[in-house]
Amino acid sequence: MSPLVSQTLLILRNDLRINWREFRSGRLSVGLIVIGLLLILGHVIAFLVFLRLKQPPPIALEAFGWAFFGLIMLSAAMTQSIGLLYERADFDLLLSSPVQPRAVLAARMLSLGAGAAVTVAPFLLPVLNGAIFGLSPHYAAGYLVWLLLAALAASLGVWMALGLVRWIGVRRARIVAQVAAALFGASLYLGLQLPNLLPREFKRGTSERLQAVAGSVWFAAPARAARGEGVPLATLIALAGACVALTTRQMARTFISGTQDATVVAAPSRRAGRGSPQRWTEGLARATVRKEIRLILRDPLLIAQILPSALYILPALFSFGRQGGWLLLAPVMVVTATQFSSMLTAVAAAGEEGWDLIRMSPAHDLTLRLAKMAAGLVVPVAFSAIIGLVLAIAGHPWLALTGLLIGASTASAAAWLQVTDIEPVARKDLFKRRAQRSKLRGVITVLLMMSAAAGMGIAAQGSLWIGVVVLGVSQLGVIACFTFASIKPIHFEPSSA
Amino acid sequence: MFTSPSPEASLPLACAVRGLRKSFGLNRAVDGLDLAIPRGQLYAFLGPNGAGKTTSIRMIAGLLRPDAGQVVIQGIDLAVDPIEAKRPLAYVPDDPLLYGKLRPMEYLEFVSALWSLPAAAARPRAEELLRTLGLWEKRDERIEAFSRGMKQKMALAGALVHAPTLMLLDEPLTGLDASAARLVKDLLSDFVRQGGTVVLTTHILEVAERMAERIGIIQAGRLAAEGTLDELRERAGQTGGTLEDIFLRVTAAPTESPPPLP
Repeated sequence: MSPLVSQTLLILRNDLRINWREFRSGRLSVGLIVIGLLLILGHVIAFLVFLRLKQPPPIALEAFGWAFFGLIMLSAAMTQSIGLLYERADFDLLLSSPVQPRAVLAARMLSLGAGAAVTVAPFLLPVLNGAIFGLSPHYAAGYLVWLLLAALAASLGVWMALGLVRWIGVRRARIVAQVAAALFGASLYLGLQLPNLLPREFKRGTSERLQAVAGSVWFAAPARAARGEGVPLATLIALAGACVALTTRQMARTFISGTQDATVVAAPSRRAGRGSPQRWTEGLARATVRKEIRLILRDPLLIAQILPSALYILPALFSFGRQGGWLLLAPVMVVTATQFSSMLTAVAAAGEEGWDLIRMSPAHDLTLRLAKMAAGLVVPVAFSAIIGLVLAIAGHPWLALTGLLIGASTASAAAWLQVTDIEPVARKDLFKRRAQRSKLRGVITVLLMMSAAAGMGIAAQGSLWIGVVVLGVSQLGVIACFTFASIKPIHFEPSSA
Repeated sequence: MFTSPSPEASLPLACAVRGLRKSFGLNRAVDGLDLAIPRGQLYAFLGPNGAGKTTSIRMIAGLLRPDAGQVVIQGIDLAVDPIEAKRPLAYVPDDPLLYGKLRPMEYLEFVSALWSLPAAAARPRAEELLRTLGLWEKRDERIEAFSRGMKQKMALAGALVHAPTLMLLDEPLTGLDASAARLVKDLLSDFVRQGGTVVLTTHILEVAERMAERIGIIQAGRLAAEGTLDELRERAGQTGGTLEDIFLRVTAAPTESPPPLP
């Protein structure tokens, strides 16, 4: 075995072992169980569906499916690329050793690909296995397509990361990569929403163009390869192999110089500002709210992680405005307030950086939790109020007021669920780990948000009493949250001696 | 064990620790620690790596829950009334985690609020501390741009802003250059002169030798020796010996291995 390959495998094995241990740490065993259940449930549903199918679905549909999984893998690779290529603590060790830089880059790229492949596995595997057993064994080629697309995604992720770092430095590259990853991840959804966003006269043409793209040879190539067709599969293998080889060969020097410069570039800018706050805030609650808002607003990476959620909300907002009239802004108010409040409260609570300081202070636990909740609520509820203002100006002031109240109460419950069960996480890992936290509270938040939004939507569309009943149920849920979600002690990692 | 008679009976205590125990899994980090730290003194808490210094200090600061034992801060049991017990306390860890995105005054504003300090008292004190610690010129910069030494000074400013009477410092001189270290030592001496109590851990034995009124040496989670430098010399039979000699002798002595956990 050549030194390059053996060194690559050595580093890759170490990377995968660390990733696996990080994944299994803490409460993640719950995450594993959930993924396991998701896989089982997915397989049952997929087998039921595919066994009833008499013939394969249209190739355009499969092409969209592969495009979706490919884009999600690309998004995952882009999200992880900067961290994996420039912020791992082991570079001092690796790059001062006689290991070839190409081996380090290749190992990191493969690790990136493995991460991207695992991201879609719980959703892709049931469909793939269902197709293999229900339709044709030829679909087994889908496994190869999955891995090839992951390799392509990793390769593109590396090119993007290295290019961005060279161009704008590590810190800004992280932010841009986050936004770009979110855009890529949402691009298929945004593409499908495009006809709804465009004026009516362009709508039909756009739909036809999208269908044409779906049926094109290149777009359908992964789907055809996954059906076991020789030429597309060979083309994909050649393309992925060429990309990986080219990236490893051509980018090693850029990678090394970028890593060497990373510490210089990553030094935080010395931004000038007002040293003394004009008004010294008194009182724990107000000081905490101000502190949290400052920390959030001054953290572009965090904002870059949060704002992409708007990618899914805003097209729906315009779409509603166009199709159902401005009345449907009322549920959008609820979703906006709840979704962002939940995220920002998680940032303020679980992402707290100074637990040692807080825990050894005489501050009251409940006051602090409520202050963090308020900090998470302020901006989203204000944003929701702005949407409400649009609705009020459009001639529906009562609906706007109701939307604001329901949004604020549902958001408060979502925020309460966050502050009653705080599990400290490093801020940079917050959204990576958030999905692995208390699943039950996450499900309750989504149920509350969806029922309140549905109630508002139904009421706004004219079915007032049905809407009121649904809203009543959702608000009972809110009350139940405040009544039954007890405050759990904060779980800190035990320090060693 | 080379311990001198406890000063508990004669002096008012800033901090009393009785029978403190803490285990991490099968590792017993602190094993029945007793301390009596009089007010208005600098107490150096020494020990080899992994002896249990940081664990002990974190338990005294209320950051770690002991498996057994009692911590009493200025007459208030930490387990019974943690809020009041923490009021006179300040703790600076060896690697303080400050809010990088905040500016110095904003950080001190938040710390003051944690200790419920009125703005009229907190703001001038914060400004004075920044001037004293040489951070006033940096007041417009975010803490993330500070060097390690400046961060250490920032943490000290945070610890002092609420006018504590008991400071727990874990390796406070780590990463400081000579002038910054001198500044911190002077600050701590002034603090003690004004009636405050300092408990510090350090690996720089000269600092402990020169500054500390009492010295405790911990090994394997137990107090292996305690007293003034002269008392330690006397008990170690090393008249004229340095603290380093005593420390090496004490920590080289075989200690009884901790009993297995139930």
